Amino acid sequence: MADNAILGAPHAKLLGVKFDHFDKDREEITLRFHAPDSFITPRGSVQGGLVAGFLDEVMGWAHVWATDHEEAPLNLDISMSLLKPVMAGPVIGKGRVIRRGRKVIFLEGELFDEAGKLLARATSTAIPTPRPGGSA
Amino acid sequence: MNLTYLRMVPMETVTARGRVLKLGKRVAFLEGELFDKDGNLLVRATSSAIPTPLPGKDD
Repeated sequence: MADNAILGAPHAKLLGVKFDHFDKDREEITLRFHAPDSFITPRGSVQGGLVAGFLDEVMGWAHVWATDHEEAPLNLDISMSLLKPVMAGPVIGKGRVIRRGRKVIFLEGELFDEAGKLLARATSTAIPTPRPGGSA
Repeated sequence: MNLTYLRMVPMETVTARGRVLKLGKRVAFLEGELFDKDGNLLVRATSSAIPTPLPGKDD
């Protein structure tokens, strides 16, 4: 799929993103990540700000898919809660569109480990924009 | 952690400032800001955290 090209963008590569599936009715996307060792702090888990990177990515793709790849979000804010440490290795991300307005959209994202435990969650407020690099 | 994006972060050196708002025994409240080279505020963050010994310090 054409999107694997975009998922292959340098920042996405860093996050180890792979598309899993998109549920059109719920406007919910599932992505698989691979947290690299370079994201790990001396505490042994992914640095908090970098956890936000995964959440940002999964929320953003929910909006892109919900708009048939026409739009992408420009974030105004992200709020996140870190429930459990995110370890290096596989991470599953779910992102969904809570409300899609003309001027503002509301997104939500969650990260799970492979056992299905919720590790982190985020909400975001964003402005919908035409997709940069659009039909590329 | 809450992040507010005021301006797009340019591909140049950004100045980061972090501050402890309140350091309690159980909870620390922190604030961070990013500025461009003209001193424009780009991003602002606040966070609530649990203070722990510095990991990897004496093990």
